[in-house]
Amino acid sequence: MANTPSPAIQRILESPGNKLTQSGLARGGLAGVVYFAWSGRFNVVPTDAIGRIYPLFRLPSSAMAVEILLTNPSGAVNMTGFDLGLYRAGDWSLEDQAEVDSNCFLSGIDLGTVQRRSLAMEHGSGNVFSGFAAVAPRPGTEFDVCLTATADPAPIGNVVVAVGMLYVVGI
Amino acid sequence: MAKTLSDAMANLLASPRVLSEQIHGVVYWSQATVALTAGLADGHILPLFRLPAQTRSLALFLSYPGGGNDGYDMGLYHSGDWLQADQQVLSAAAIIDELALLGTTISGGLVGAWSGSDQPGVPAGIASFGVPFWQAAGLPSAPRAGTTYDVCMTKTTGTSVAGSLVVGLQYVVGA
Repeated sequence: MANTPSPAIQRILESPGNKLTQSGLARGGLAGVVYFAWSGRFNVVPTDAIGRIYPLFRLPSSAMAVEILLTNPSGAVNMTGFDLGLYRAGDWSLEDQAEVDSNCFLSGIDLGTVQRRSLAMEHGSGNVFSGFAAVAPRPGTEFDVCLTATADPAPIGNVVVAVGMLYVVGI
Repeated sequence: MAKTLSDAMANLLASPRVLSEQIHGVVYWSQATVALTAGLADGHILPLFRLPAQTRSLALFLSYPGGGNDGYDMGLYHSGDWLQADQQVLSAAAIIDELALLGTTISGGLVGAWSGSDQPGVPAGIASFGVPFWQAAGLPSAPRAGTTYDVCMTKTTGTSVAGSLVVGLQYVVGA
């Protein structure tokens, strides 16, 4: 039976001197210690409009997203259009961030539905923070993971939402 | 364009180079198997695992024998000796209030049965997701370092059937 090695294994095979380290595996795939980042709790309110940005957390550019976890109270409705993507890390009090790709992870998320989605499976190995550019950013570069409203949120009152992301850190 | 800060981002702005544990925690996994018997009485307690008071639950995984319609809460007890039955309840529904096991037949693997649909790794409820156990239980401040709690399920409704209940909890531990 023919076997097809994953990109991570291919890289290891092509560099036989490499040891099976976390960084080695992380070159071509998801491997290593899984970390968790979460947004804390934030409100989606009826006066929010299309284009409103909800900064969630700041992660290194070498992070590779694995899964997103979303939870909310029962009865959260009319919050069906949000994108999940990246902004350059900045000073949110000055609103000086620049959009990198506002929907590189997910488009049209329903914040009214408790869910867990596999970003690694939906995006494959391209789901690396540096994947949107031909060259990885300088070491130490960070990005802000943000939600962006693409449909006018119309919750009944203020609705508390929390978003978490499981990720590994590569190179 | 107006922007709304999350708590984590507000913390970040306050201490821009210090990332708190809660937003960069290593993910842990605990798993327990419980032998269910048919016709468990409401109020029956199923001890699952013992975890630090600083544990923050992320998601629950379940594998459940088909045929029952029983419901459970998942919460916290002060750690004790289960052989002596000397535990004191802290909050029986601190983690999940009314988890319905809908009798879905599951073959292999860990699959969560949640509100009528099978899903692996359903996020914890908004009241407990990402917050430390002691806070989810309603305590006003953190207990002494080293405090542990027993995570237990308490039967609340329905009729159980005999079989193995497998529970997995994904969590981080941080101050």
